[in-house]
Order: sequence, then structure tokens, then C-alpha cells
Amino acid sequence: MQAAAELKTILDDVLSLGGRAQAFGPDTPLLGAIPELDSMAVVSLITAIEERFGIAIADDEIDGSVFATFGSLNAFVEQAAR
Amino acid sequence: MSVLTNVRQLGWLDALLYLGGQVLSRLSGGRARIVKYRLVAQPIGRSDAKPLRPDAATELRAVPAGDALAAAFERPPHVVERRYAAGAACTAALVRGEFAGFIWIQRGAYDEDEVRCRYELQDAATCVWDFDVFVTPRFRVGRTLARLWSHVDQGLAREGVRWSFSRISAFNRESLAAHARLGTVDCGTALFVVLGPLQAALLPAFPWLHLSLRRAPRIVLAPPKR
Repeated sequence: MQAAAELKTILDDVLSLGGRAQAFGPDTPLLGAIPELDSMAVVSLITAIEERFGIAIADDEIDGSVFATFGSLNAFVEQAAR
Repeated sequence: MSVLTNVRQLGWLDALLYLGGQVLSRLSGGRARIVKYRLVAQPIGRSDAKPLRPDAATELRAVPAGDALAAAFERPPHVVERRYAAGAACTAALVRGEFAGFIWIQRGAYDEDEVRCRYELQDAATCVWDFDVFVTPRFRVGRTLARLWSHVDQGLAREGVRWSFSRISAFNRESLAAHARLGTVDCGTALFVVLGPLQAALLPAFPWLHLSLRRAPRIVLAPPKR
């Protein structure tokens, strides 16, 4: 739960969503559904997640499925932070 | 894309050109086309983006002519050969040895491969042309493109290059928006109407209008003043 809350804050900050991320649920679609989440924003988002959770994400760990929904991104972060 | 979506995203004029081009192409079996490019210049060596954490799995390297890696390029061999013959340089990204993408850089002048047009760089010492920036679908969501561009950007900056020009389809709003966020400078538009061998071109500079059956118009690109 804690990771999910922090992830919402990161999404709000990096994508400048103005608090919209606070209402995200596990099934909320991200990639292709949020105009602010383009390829450049993905780069900033990965870097912000690494810094906030103290993890290192390898380039080949990331693909479209990770950013499909808020739930898939949260699951990825929780797994990487273990 | 629906007509309304086209109009909303492109505006009336470009939506009409896009739809007209689609209809022309279909009716003519691809012999008639409408192509519109936005010409842009990207500053080199002036990125204020945070440096990317190095990734041990990603290798970035030049791919000279004859390199075995070219076999992995998703381009016809004769196209790749023509690029090298024209003096273009390729930089590729490999992730755990797997080809992940490339960027091509041309110096001096670039011959368009979709229509007849030659882009000439007025200041060859400080300007280059980048083209066919490509990342394989597997690595499209992630940092591969950012690493690749950053690597090329740093290399060009060390050589004294200040601007990299390129052209984007004026009908591709996503690409236009992405380039704008990268700080590109608009250098005008070029419109081409192709009817079989006949090509009419509306250019952003002299001679403004160019009609031809064989010859390619020249567009001379000067470094932006900033």
C-alpha cells in the first residue's frame, strides 16, 4: 500500500497530473491512455522510481507491459524493491 | 484515425492534405501522394536533462560499413549499402548483445528517400542531419532511445557540432510534440504533391515552388540564430 501511495505521488510529480494519480486504481490504464505519459516521460519516470525506491532497473526489465496499468507498474516496483 | 480526430489533431489544412493524400494514394495504387514535412533543428550538447544511470547491459557503438551487426538491421541491404556509400554514419544500441536500435547521421547533404529533395547543410562544420531514428518494439518503452540519443549527442558535441537537422511528417502529431519537448527549433515546412513522375514542391525558401519530372529541389538549411 505504501509503495502504491508513493508511486501515485511520483506519477503526479513527474507527469504533472495535478493530483489525478491519487484516484488511480489497479486497472487504471497508463500507456496510451494518459497523454502526458510519452516515451520521454517514461524515461523520467523510471529514473524517479529508481531514486525514490533505491533500486536499479535494467533496460531489458522494462517493456510496454510494465506501464500497461497502474497495477502492473506497482507490481513491478514492489517486485524490484524486494 | 477518424476524420474528426484528424481535424482536431492536425487542424483543417493538414487534415485535408492528409486525407487527400490517403485518397490519392489509394486511387492511384501508390503512384500519387501528398507528403508534408516539418523541418526541425535539434540543439546538440545542450541537453539539460539529468544524466542517465549507466546500464551494464546496454552497449552503444558505431557500426561501420561491413559490420556484421548490419545483418540485424530491419532495413533492406541495398538501403543500408546506399547509406554507407553516401557517407552516413550509424550508431547502434545493443542490449545484452541484442540489436535494440540505431541512429543515422549524415554530413553535408541528405537526399530524401520518400520524395525527390536534397537537404543541404549550409554550415557543415556545426550541422548534421539525423535520420531513421529507430528502436525495436521490444525496447521502445524504456531508456534505449534516450541512451542512444545522449551517446550520439555527446559524440557530435565533442566534434563541434551544434545542430542536428531532421524532417518529421507534418501529419505525425505525436512525433512533432515529442520533438518540441526536446527543444527543437522549427525550420519551416515542405509540401510535396507527387503524381507519378511529376512532382510539385512548395519549399520553405527559394525557389519556393519547384516542378519537376526528374530533378530534385535543394533546401539549404542554415543554423538557427540562437
